[in-house]
Amino acid sequence: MSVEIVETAPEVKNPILILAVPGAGLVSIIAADHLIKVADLKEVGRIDSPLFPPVIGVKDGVAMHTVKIYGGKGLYVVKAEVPLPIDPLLKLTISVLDWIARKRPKLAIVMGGVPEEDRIKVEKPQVMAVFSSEEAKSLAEGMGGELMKEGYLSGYAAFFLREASRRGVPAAALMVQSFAAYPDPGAAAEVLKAIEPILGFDVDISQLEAESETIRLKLKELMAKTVQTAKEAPAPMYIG
Amino acid sequence: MDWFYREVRWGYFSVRDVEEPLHEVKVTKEGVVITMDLPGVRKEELVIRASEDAILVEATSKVGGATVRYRKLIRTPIPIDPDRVVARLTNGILQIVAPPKEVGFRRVKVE
Repeated sequence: MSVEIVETAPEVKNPILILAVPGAGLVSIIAADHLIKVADLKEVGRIDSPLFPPVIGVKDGVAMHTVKIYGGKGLYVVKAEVPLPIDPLLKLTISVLDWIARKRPKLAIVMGGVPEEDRIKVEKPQVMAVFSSEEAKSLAEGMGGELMKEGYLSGYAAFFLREASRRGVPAAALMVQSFAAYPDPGAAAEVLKAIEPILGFDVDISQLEAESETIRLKLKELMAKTVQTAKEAPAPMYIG
Repeated sequence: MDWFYREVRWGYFSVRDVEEPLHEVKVTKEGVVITMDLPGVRKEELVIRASEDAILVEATSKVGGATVRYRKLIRTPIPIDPDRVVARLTNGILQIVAPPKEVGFRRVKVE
């Protein structure tokens, strides 16, 4: 069974890709939502597969896809609005990387939360950056976040970087200290600050900070579903 | 196939009459540690009641112009000492530490 990507607008050439999937603290979802809003990105495509869970979005009584592509300002944001079990998530990632590789992207970015036990005491969450290659690292010069010097990265970000590397797509993973099971707009704001220098436009995070409580409340159920999906995944496989 | 039948609808854009907050319960060497996400709640609007086997949290807040009521009863996995329960609220994240009930031996009279 395959993953189908449908574009509904002229393509962005040499884009930056941001792939956002629900994970710890819903960091990438919150960051992607804010980016779509401040950059006024338009829906330019959708992704579907029989492998995806039987969930649809509903707006004004009409079914919507749950994995959407937004575009504009030299940027694509691919956002999964529902948590995906491990197998569909990996197939989605591979399909998105195959798709973006044909557009010769400047950089493909995945963002994620790293659960921090004492997040409640952390005022400014730290962002850690890992790149798929030396080329990707130099392409992303100016991007914020502390470079991970040495060690091992496991889970979804590692899978993303490895698959990007196999396709010759320069890629970065930005991981930020976050709550594991609570939506974390504060962590999302730090990730956005880190990627802002390479986007070529300002990302005003004041509205994100102002709406922090509303975002936490609105994303409560998606967070609970994400935690449930992660619990159902084989233990060593899922790191959102 | 459980997922196929589990539920038909969930959404995150409507505020219910009473919201059940996201929460986590852990047993540590300090006792039962509960954290809870209570967006918009200030300590003046928060009431916590403790018994030997449960903690009840009730709160009200204003979020995005709407009044939100939270309520959650948590059965503790081990007996706790309700007199020594402490709670701290930081940016709407509540942390409750409930020390375990001390179990002592009492001499039994033999008749």
